[in-house]
Order: sequence, then structure tokens, then C-alpha cells
Amino acid sequence: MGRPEFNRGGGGGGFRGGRGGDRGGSRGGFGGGGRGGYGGGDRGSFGGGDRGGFRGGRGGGDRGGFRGGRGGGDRGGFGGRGSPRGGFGGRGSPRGGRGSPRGGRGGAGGMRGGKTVVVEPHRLGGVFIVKGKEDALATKNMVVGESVYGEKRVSVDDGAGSIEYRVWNPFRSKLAASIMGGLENTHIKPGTKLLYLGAASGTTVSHCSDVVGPEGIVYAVEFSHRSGRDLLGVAKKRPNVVPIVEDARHPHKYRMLVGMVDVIFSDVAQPDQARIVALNAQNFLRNGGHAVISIKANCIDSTAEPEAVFAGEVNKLKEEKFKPLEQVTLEPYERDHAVVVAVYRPVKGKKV
Amino acid sequence: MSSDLYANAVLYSEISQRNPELVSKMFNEATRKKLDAFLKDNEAPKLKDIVTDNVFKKRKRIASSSGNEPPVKKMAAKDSSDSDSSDDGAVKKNGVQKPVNVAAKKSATPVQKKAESSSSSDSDAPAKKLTPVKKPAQTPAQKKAASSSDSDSDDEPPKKAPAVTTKVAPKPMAKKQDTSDSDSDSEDSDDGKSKKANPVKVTPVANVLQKVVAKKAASSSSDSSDDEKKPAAKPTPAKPTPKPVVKKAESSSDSSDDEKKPVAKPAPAKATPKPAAKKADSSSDSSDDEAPAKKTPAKAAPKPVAKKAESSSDSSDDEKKPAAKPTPAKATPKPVAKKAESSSDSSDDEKKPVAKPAPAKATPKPVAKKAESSSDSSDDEKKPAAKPTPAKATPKPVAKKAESSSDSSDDEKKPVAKPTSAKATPKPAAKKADSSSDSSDDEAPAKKTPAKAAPKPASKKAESSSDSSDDEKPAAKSTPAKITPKPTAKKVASSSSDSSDDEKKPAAKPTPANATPKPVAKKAESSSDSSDDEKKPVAKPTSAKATPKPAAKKADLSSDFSDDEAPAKKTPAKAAPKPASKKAESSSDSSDDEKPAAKSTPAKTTPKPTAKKAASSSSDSSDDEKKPVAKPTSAKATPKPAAKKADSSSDSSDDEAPAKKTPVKPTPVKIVAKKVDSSSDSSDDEKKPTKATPVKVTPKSVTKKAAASSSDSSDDEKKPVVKQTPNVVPKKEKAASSSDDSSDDEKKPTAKPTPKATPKQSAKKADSSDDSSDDEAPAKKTPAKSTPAKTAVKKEASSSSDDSSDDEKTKKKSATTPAKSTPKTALKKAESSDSSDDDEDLPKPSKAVTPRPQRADSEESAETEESSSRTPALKAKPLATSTEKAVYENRKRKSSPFRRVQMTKDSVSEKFRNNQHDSHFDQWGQRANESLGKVVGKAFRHEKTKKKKGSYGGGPINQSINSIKFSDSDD
Repeated sequence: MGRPEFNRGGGGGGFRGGRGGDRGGSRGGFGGGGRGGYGGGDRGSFGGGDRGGFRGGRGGGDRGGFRGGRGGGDRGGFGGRGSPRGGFGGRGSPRGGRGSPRGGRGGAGGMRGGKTVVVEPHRLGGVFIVKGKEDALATKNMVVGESVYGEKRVSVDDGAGSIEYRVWNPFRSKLAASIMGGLENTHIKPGTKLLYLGAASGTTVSHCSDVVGPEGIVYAVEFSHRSGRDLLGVAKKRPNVVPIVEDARHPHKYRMLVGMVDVIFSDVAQPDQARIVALNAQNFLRNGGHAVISIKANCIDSTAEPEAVFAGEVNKLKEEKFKPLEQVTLEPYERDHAVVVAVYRPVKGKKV
Repeated sequence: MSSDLYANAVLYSEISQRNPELVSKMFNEATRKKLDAFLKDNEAPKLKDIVTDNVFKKRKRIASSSGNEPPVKKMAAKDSSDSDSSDDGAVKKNGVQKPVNVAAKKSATPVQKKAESSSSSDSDAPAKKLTPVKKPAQTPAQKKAASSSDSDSDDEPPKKAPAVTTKVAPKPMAKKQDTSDSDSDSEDSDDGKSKKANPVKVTPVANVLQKVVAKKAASSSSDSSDDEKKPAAKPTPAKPTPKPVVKKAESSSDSSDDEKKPVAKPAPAKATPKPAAKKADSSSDSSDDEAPAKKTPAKAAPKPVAKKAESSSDSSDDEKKPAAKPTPAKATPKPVAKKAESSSDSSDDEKKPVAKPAPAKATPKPVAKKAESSSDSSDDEKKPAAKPTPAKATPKPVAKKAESSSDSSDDEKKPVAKPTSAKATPKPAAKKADSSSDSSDDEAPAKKTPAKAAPKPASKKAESSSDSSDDEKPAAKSTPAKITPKPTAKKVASSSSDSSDDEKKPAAKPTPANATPKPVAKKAESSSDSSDDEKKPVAKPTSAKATPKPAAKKADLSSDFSDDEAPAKKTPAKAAPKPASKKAESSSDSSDDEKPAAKSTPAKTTPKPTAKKAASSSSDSSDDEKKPVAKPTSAKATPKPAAKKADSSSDSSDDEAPAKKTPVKPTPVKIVAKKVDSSSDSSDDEKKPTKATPVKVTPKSVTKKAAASSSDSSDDEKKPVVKQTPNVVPKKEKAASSSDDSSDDEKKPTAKPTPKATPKQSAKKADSSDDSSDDEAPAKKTPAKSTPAKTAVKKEASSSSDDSSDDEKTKKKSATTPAKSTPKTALKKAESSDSSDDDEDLPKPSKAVTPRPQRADSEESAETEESSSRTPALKAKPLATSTEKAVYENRKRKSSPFRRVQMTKDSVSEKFRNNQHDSHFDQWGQRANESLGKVVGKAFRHEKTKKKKGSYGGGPINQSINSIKFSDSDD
């Protein structure tokens, strides 16, 4: 009875119900479920057909799809639900790499890694080169087994145990790009006390943390709370990272957190970057300390020639008692960027 | 004391109501407490009530009737108000202004502009403006009036009209007199006009006394004398001066007189201004005078100076006086004080002024005549007497008096001075005019300070002396300030400011002032002179003056004049202005100069003048400018003084200074007298002193508000002015209030106005930004075509910002023609402080340029700015438009896209010129470069995102070094 009615009803509303059902079916996977479900809901009173549609729509995995898109692999399980839709689940997995950095695990494994990989130290302390089919920069992972932003990890068994390295992508880090560009010295080496201005999500900070090691410390200053949240996540697992969510223009606000530092790395991309660096240098940088400054020409003056902008910034630094040492372009990793290394209040007679 | 207290209380309450910020500037803590306590127990009448009753009515009457009646009214008003020196000052000013043309000025100037001590300057400014207006026609006045504060404007206009009329008459006389005894005549005429006519200096004094008495018994005879003188002076003085100085001067002087008077009443000033404009210098002077009285005063003064310092100075004196008048009591007091101190006060004052002038003169004179310096000093003294006589002095005084009661003192001084100068001047006739003006200035200064005297010397040489005198006078009452300015100017910027400071300080607080002044004097005498001038300067100055004057004045006249005049308008005016400004600025300077000259020598004098002129402190320049303008008319000189005085930071200081000065003065006076030799001078001096003394006495008691002011009336007036000045500054602020502009015009009428005026003056002198503006305005006005310019000026003045007004004025002037001279002045002034001024200056031309330098040099800049700001506000909005436009245009022209990085790639070291990827080094990035190098924007981002995935591999990594090293040479 009910059914027939239902059917009828469905028929009456059949049209609708049908429609909803159809939709649910057709769209299920894509999230059209919403509608299907909707329709279903409406029709729910009318007939089970709708419901089926509804469920289907829902199960469809709008969610599955959705999450899958986002979460990638993790949801795989979830997506599994939607697996009926097959295609969908399939998609989710491929995404994993991209969608969720953390899910990249598989990737790492996939990295030609395991095979014949040799890790050599770079001329710069704390930096390594993973030699394989394709070379890559890497740092020794301080928190074994964890990737910070989905980067690949390479484990090497030196006999005394395995040492894990994290690949350092120059497209993601300007510091890495400057090293790739042939910078003579970043002055960031094990044991260095580093003030990092413009830490963002902490990707480069995590590598700096690896470089300076347990003896060093990284004060990571980031003004954006959104980025600062990720930065906190990084700092939680790394004892040598001090996250500071403050404006780098006001060093007095975090002066109680920061001690004397050896190096200031600045990636703030602000028009008054030179001033910001100078302010922090005045507060925290030791005499003879160094500043590594990434300059984004478009942030200083987008109408001027990048080379002129860089020269202008260098001049500003000179006025702030910095002595520029070297400059390197970040092409092709960054557009119109350059990194300048300068020494602060150089000590006479002492080689910088 | 009670009266003083009462007056102060009124002022205090008014100020605290209108501009609480100023209160602290005007009153020291102790005074404030005292006043607070007083106010608790007694309710101080509102200025409005007082003013309205007395001033306004009077003004109206005056307007309708003309100058003569006003005096009476003034007196009445004074009487009524007299009890409170400050009140009296205000009232008096109003009253005075109204009564006489001068009275009108006073009222307007005193009240509004002068309100503060500088009010004289203010008054001057207004006067200037007014003057122009008057001559041009009442229209200007009206405009101004309208533009400026209504009350003020109203007052002014009426006054102007009357003033004009009276002035006109006086002028002729004055002119004639100028040449010969014109001074005395002028004074007489002035007196007559204003009251009856105190033909001679003596008479003036008497008149003054009478007036004073009439005005306010309190003000004391000295006041009355001042008043009388002023009245007389006003009408006559201005005119005389102009005439003496130059025909233009005459006309201008007349105009200046008129202007002054007008100034007294805003309108007059404007009206006069035009005349001044015509004569340019003269007119400017007149305008200056008026301006001084009101806004223009400063200018007016300058002009006079410029023209021939004397006349101008007279006018300036007049203006100052007017200012004093407004405050009559004060004005008088000062004069009195100065004079009073020593019977020879006037002489002292004169002497002092002279002394200062001398220094200043020395400079100026030296330049013009060093010999003169000695003579100058004498001249100064004489001038004071003679010049004062010249009418200009008198007229101005009158006007000034009218304007400011304090003026009265100034007037007295001035009158005396003028007379003296006149005597001295006689030689120069024209010169005399200048000298007379100078003398008047000197006298005025003398009273207040040597500075004036000095100024005179300065003017002498240039009209600067007159200016200085004017300045001094104004400063004193204003005189101190003026004086100071001059000194400053001369000595340098410092001097101007110093002078102003000195003056002001002195005025404000005798001690401080002195102290300050002295510092200012730095130059030695000069700056310190200002303070010293006021006090010591006087003495020294005296001698100095004596010397200077002779040379400067007489010979000078022409030469000085020329100098002065050059500066003022023409070349001579300019020169004169500078000298004047220098001298004027520092009347103290002048005195200093004179002193130096006297003591040091001519050489100094000369140099100073030059230097002054050149550098001549911005204030000088401003002064000069003003003076130049003034030159044409004595008015300028006066204005400058006023301005200077005003500038001199605190009018109050001035007042005090006067008081202090007074003491000094006495000595100086005597000295002066002695030195002066010139019997007339001495007589004048003596007379003055006498009168002054009485006045002083009275004033002090009455006015003293400040306490200091021995020359209470004068002091009071001055003080008020001073206060006003401060206010003005604040006012600038007010400026906006229109009243400022009007202030010059209005100054008298309203405290604010006065302040404005003062500010301007002060600005000129001290900071003289305002002053400059004022000066400029006046100058402009004058030059510009008397009428148009004036109007414009007036309007400007009245109109919102001084700068604007200045600018406008300048512009107008420039536009009109005369512009140049005016512009310069304007520029100078403007430059110093107002940007607009600067703008104007620039536009203006070479002249303008010159002025600028001066100002720039002078410390005034800062002050100027302030003042300018004030000025703009004051002057106004009307002008503002034009000014603004000009400014805007300038900006527009200059406008260019903002560039944070100015350098180009080509300027970068060769090795840093290539930020491209080095594919030879970085093989690993080669592939990325190939894909990323050819895309931009979104595509680049897309490509780069792909590279971030970690799937990118570029082969082997090159670990070598490839950075670009900075070599040491790159550092």
C-alpha cells in the first residue's frame, strides 16, 4: 500500500521524486547530492523513492568527493564510502600528493629514494645535497618521521641508525633558492642564533631549524595570525623555534623574547623592509652579525627596474650601518627577487 | 593693580574661552592662578560686552563721522574700560580706534590684532590692509571687514573710512610737514585729526595725554599723550611719512596713514594699503602701518621703513600706537613706561630705540650712513621727535593709538620719536619722513625699547630704523617685539626671533624678555639689544642712534631710504627693508646696530644692514619687505615693527619689555636726549618721557596686567596685544576664525583679531611667519595697486589663512603689478612661514626670492610658519582662494608620479645590472627557467606551483659560488 501510494505519490510527485532521484543518482558523486537530497527531502513525505535518492545523493559522496578533494589520501577511507562511485575515489588518491602535503607520505616512498641515494653535505654547514637521479637540497630532519609541509624525506642508513633528511625545495624557500643561486655564505650554520622575519607558515623556518640544530635557535616572527597558526604547529615540535606573532616593525614588542642573534633573515617583502631590518638589527643583532635579506622588487616599487630597486635597498642598508657583502638573484625560482647578504657594524680587523 | 588684574581677568577669561591653548602662553602659572582666583570672586565682564559697547559703536560712528569723533569715543570707551588695563586696552583699542581713525585702528587692531601687544603689528597689518583699502576705496575696507570678522571688519571699515578721510587730509599736511616739519605737522594734523591735532610733538603729547585721559584716565596722561600722538600721528604720521619718504611715500604715507588709520579700522588699512600699493612702498608703508595696526601693521611699518623708514616707521609707529591705543592704556603705558621711566622716557625709549636703532642703524646706517648712526641715534631720537612730528608718526600714532590703546604709548613714543625724527628728519625730509617714522619708531621703540630707536637708525638708514622703531614700538608695546625683531633681523635671524623674544619676553615678563632679548641681542647688542635694546639698548642705542640717525636719517633718508625703500619696494625699498627689517626687525638690532655702530662703529652698522638685509633675517626680510612696502609709506615700517613686536614672541613680553624697557629707556632716553642733541629730539624725548612717564605710571597700575608693564597702558595694550598675539598664533588657528585676518583688521576689535595681527607681526618679527604674511599682505597691498591690492590683501587678511591672504595679496599685488615689491615682501614673509607665502614668493620673482632668503635665514621661519599658519587663517580665506589656487597650481606643476625608488638601472653598478638567471651556473634551474621565463602573471604562478609539488628535478646541483660581491668601493 504504502508503496503503491508511494509510487503514486511518487508518481504524482513522481515526477518530482523521480527527478530528485535521478539527480541524486547522477550527481551523487559530484555533490549534486545536495540537490538530490534536497529534492529527496521534500519528497520524503511523498515517497521512499525520494529517500533513496536522498541517501544516494548523500552517500554520493558529495562529501567523499569534497573531502577527498581536499584531504586527499586521509579521506581515502572516507572516500571509500563513496568508493561505489569508483571514479571518485580514484581521483582522491592521485590528489593526495598535492592536496595534502601531509599525505605525501606515499610520495616520499615513491621518491626514487630508496634506491641509490647518496647524501652529501653542502659547502654550507647544515645543508645537504641528495644525490640521485635528480639532485636536491636537503636538511637533516630534526623531528624524524615528520614532514612539515609535505616535503619528501629521505632516510639514509649510515650504520649507526637511520638519518632522515627533508628535501628543501628552492621553489618554496627563498633561502634555498639563494643557495641554489650560488650564495657564498648564508651565515646560517649549526649553532647559529637566527632571527627570522617573515616566517609565514614556517616552511623555511623548519629547514633553518634543522640547519642550526639543537645548539642554535630560531626566532620566527610572523605578523599574520593565519600563518602564525601553522608556524605554531611547526614550533610545537621543534624546541629550537620560538614563534612570535608580532609586527616586525615593532621589535620592542618582542624584545623580551629575543636575545642577541647572529643572523637576521628577512623575507618581509615590505616597502620599508630596510628600516624593519635596521630596527631589528639595532635591537638584536650583534656587531659583526649578518643580515640575509630577500628583496622583492615589486613590493618596494613595482614601477622601477628591479636592479634599481635592489641598489636602492642596498643603499638604505648602508645608511643603517650594514655593509653589503654579496647579492644573488633568485631567478628562476622567484620573479624579480634578489637576496643580499650584509654584515652589521663590521668589526674592524675581523674578517667577515 | 586691581584694574590691571581686572583687565587681565577679562583677557584671561576671553582667551580661555576662545583659545585655551593660548592661555598658558600668555599667562604664567602664577598669573593664571591669580586670575582664576580673581574670576571666582568677580565675574569679569566679557570682552564682547566691552568691545561691543565701546568699540563697535564708536566704530560705526567713526565710520560715519570720521576720525575726530572717534577719539572722543575712544576716550570715552577707554574711560569706561580704563579701570582694567587689559580691558582698557581692549576697550581702549576699540575705543581709540573708533574715535580716531587711529582709534579705529586701535580698536580694530588693538582689540583684535593687537589684542596682543603685537597688536600693533597686528594693527599694522590691518592698518596696511586697511590703508590700502581706504585709499582704494572703502570697498577694500568693506571687503576686509566683511571677510574679516564682522565685528572687526565692521569696526575696521568704519574706521577706515573715517581714517581715510582724516588721513587724507593729514597726509597732505603730513607730506608737507614731512619735508619740513611735516612731521610735527603731520603729527599735529594727526593729532588734530585724531583729536584736535597736536601740531607739535609736544602738542601731541598733550593731546595724547588728553586723549589718554579722555580715553582712560588710567592710561594716564602718557596714554593720552600716546593717544593723542597716535591720533595725530596716525593721520599725519602715516601721511607725513609717506610724503617725506617719497611722494609715493607721501601718498603712500598718506595712504599709509590712512591705511594705518584704516588699519585701526580694518577698512582704513585696506584702503590705505591700496594707496600704499600705489606708491607701492609708500602705500605699502601706509598699508604696513595700517597692517601693523591691524594685520598689515607689520607691513605698514615695513613699508614706511621701506619708503623711508621714517615715515613708514611713523606709520608703523602709528600703527603700533594704534595698537597701543586699542589698549591705549597699555600703549600709553608702554610709552609712558618707557618714557615714563625716564621723563626722557620717550627720549629713553627713543634713545633706547635709537640705541637699538643705532645698532640696527649702525648696520643700516652704516650701510646707508654709518656716520648717521651717530646722527642716527640722534636722528632716531630726533626722528622720533621730528618724525613723530612728521605726522606719520603722529598719524600713525593716532591711528595706532586708535587702534591700540597701547599704541598710545607707542604713539607717544612714536609721536615723540617722530617729532624728533621729524626734527632730525627734517634734513632728510623724505628721509625724515623715514627718519621721522624712524624716530617715531625709535620713539616708540624708545619707549618700549631702544630697539625702536635702533630700528629708526636702521630705518634711518633704511627705514628699517623706522621699522625698527616701529617694531620696537609695537614690540614695546609691541615695540619690544618689534625691536627685537629688528635686532634679530639685523643681527640675524636670531636677532629677529631674539628680538621678538627679547621684546616679547621682556614685555611679557620683563626679566624673561630681557633675558631673552639679550640672548637675542647676541649679536650683541643687537639681539640682546632687543631685550637690551629695550632696556640697555636704549641707552646704548641712544648713542648709537644718535650717530646713526644723523647719517642715516638725513643722508640716509635718501640713501638709507633708498636702501630701506629699495628693500621695501623698489630696490631702495628692499635695501631699506632689509635695513629696516634688520633694524626694524631688531629695532633692537638697529639699536644693537646702532650701538655697535656707535660703539663698534659704522662698519658694523653698514655690514649689519647689508647682512641684515641680505640675510637680514627672514624677519628682516619680512620686515624689509614690509618696510619696502612701508617705505612707500611709513606704515610699512610701522607694520614691521608691529609685526616684529608681535613676532617678538610675546607681546606681553613686549609689554613687560616695555616696562623693563622703560627703565632702560629712561636712561636711554636721557642718553638719547643727550645724544640726540637735537633739541627737538631731546625736547621730544623729554616730552615724551614726561608724558610717557605719566602714562607709564598709569598704565602700569592700570594695565600692568602683566604686571610688568611699568608702562601699563602701553604695556597693557601691548600686553593685550601680546596676549592677543599669542592668541593670534593660536588664532592662526583662529585665523580661520577669520577674525585673524580680520584680526589684523579686526585685531583691535577683537582680541583674536589682534592676536592675529600680532601673530603676523610677531611672525614677521619673531617668527614673523604671520608677520611676514602680514607684511607681505601689506606690502602686496600697497604695491599691488593700492586699492585692489589692498582689498585683496584685506580680504586675504581678513580671509582665512594669513598665508593665503598673504599669498593672495602677494598674488594680487603681483598681478596688479607693483606686485613685485609687494610680492617680495609677501614672499619674504610668506616664505619664511607660509608655504603659500613661499609659493607666492616664488611666483613673485626675484624680489620675492630675496625676501625668502632673508626669511629663510632668519629664525623666523619656524615662527613664520606658525604665524603663517595663523596668518593664512587670519588673512584669510578670501585670499586663501587665490593663494590656494596658486599653491595648487604650483603643486600641480610639480606633481609627478610617486616613486619610491628614484634611481635607474643605469646608475647601478655594472655587475648588478643583470638580475637574470645564469643558466651556465645553475643547471638545475635551467629547466625551470625555460618554463617559467616565458610566462608571466597567472601563468607564472601556475607553472611555479607545479614546481613546488616536488616533482621537479633539474639534474646536478652546482655547489660553487656565483654571487655578486660588493667590493669595498661599492660601499
